[in-house]
Amino acid sequence: MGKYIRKRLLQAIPVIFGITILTFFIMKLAPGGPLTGMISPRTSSESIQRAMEAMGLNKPIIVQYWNWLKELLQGNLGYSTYNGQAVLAQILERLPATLLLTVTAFVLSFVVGIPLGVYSATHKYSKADYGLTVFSFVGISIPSFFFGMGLIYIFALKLGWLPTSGFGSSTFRGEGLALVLHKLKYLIMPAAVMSLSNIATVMRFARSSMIETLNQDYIRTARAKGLSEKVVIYRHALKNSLIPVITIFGQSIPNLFGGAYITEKVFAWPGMGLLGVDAINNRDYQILMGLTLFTAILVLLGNLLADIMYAFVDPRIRY
Amino acid sequence: MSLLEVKDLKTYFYTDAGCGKAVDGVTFSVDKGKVLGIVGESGCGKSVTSLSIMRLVDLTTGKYEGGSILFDGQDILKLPEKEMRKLRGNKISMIFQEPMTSLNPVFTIGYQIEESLMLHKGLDKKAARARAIELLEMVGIPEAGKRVDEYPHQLSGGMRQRVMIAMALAGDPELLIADEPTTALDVTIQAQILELLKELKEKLGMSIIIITHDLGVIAEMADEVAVMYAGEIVEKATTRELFDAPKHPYTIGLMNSIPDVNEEVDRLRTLEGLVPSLYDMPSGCRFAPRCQFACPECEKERIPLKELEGGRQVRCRRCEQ
Ligand SMILES: Nc1ncnc2c1ncn2[C@@H]1O[C@H](COP(=O)(O)OP(=O)(O)OP(=O)(O)O)[C@@H](O)[C@H]1O
Ligand code: SF4
Ligand SMILES: [Mg+2]
Repeated sequence: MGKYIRKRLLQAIPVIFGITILTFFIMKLAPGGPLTGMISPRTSSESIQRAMEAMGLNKPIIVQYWNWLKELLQGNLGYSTYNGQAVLAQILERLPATLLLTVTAFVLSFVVGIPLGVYSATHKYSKADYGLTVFSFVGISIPSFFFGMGLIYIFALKLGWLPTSGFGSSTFRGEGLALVLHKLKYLIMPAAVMSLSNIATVMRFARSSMIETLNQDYIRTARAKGLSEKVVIYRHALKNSLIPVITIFGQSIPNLFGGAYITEKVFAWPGMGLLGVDAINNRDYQILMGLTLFTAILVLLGNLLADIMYAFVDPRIRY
Repeated sequence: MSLLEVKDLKTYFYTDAGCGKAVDGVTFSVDKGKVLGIVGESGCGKSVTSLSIMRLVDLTTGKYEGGSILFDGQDILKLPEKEMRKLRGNKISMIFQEPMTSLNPVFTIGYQIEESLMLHKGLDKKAARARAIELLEMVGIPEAGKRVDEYPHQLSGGMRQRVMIAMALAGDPELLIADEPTTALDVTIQAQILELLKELKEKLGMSIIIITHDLGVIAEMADEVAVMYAGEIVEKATTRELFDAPKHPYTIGLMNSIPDVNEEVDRLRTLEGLVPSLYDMPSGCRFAPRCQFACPECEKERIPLKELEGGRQVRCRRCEQ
């Protein structure tokens, strides 16, 4: 097991290197350029030239990449072309809020999705199963911004139970538990929006995987041993049926970070997604590059975690 | 008294195609310490019969429509599920045809045996482990103390079937049902597994129902044989009698289809024709469409199982005289 994890970690290194190349060149290929946001038709070509030299933009692209990479390895992600602040500092400032949101949504997806899927599978073709199926189709097909605005309309504007947006009020002075509860109120709706389609996907997957597992020969063996149906389902079938669900685990991480752009915008959630949307509007290439790199590495770590979980659940991979 | 008495067992399946009488009025009994063989072509209801005894037929489509299964005198078709679970894997055990897929891939073989021991024998973890190793040794697994921590995928098919047998023995069963235990294995391993079963039967004094479509296995193992065709028993006799003088045209056909080493392979005789569909059974003798002795009389009504002198039974008009 330890050997397996070490192997996977080593394999991640060239992937990270590849990510830096892709990030850098995709940004270079994007139309416009870091200067577009700063110049007007009246800007003299001399000052443009000067700005380009200052940013190193007149050097060959390989050299630009090399310089960027060198800085990167020293933990310097460059400076915002928009407001001049360090990119890393800005991202790190936003990271906790985004992690809180995505991790909450992620945990919800599985903690809610798996039991619902198992219930659906073990009550196949019952009314509850049909109900859950309808729910999952709605969950998968409803656009998140629409769902988010619907929630805001109902729970914030009409009922007034929850705040419309943001992450805590600047006038709130509570501490300890009161503060946690105060923040929690802000978290509920964005987390619900982020997790809905994931819950639905996980549920569908868990359902079909469970149904398939329950048809396996070893389940018949387990029953033939005299085990109760509970033990058969939760001990013998569940672990096996989770193996394909872990695939969803890996896939849902990029979806969540992508979804964060929309959700954070809708709820003015002060995370990386919102930073990204603003950076796009400001043509802030350095920030975008930093965000892309950061997100890619988080996704990579997520997939690594998924692989390790595979090995944990399935002995055929471990050996 | 017999250990197991199956009387007029009817297990039907209700599907979109209609009502399928997979087991239709089957009667047999197994005495203590004896081996009953059930033989027949694919789809004749052998597995459904054995699953009925375990009460493991899938009840989403299946239903026990009648008859009784007396085990030690009590009708297990009437037992509440909770009581039934105490018999399964304990007094009545079953091993299956597919050793490759019948063990749970995510648990060690030791765990899978210990689970039975803890459930039925009330052993604690440590005692269960010690006993599991003993059982693995008993079924002939070398280095049992090491193998106990391995996962099924680390074992060969023959070894896995041995593990299945060890697991089935965990509860000291009085009856072991072996549903085609060797079909999926290659010939040398087949012989070893049969040898093991015979040895265990002698040692532990349990009764065995061995299910197969291979008359060779029957000759090797069984004291008595029931030949099944299309959900019915068509002939029942001691192994000796059956091989000496098969009576039912279907049994005769089966005997003739055993490949003879002296014969060339391309002259291998198989039974002509197909098993009737479960959902479209002939109303008279179910074998009539394939029987060379069939006459209009045979197709009129169901043929009863008739007892001949010496106690053997045959379901054929020709044998009634
Ligand atoms: N769960 C089920 N639902 C519907 N039909 C079933 C079910 N299980 C078995 N059957 C049908 O019952 C009949 C008898 O099946 P069974 O498995 O007992 O055959 P078998 O004699 O064991 O054959 P084989 O040698 O192939 O194992 C078959 O026609 C099969 O299609
Ligand atoms: S009853 Fe008739 S058709 Fe059926 S097996 Fe006997 S001879 Fe053949
Ligand atoms: Mg079968």
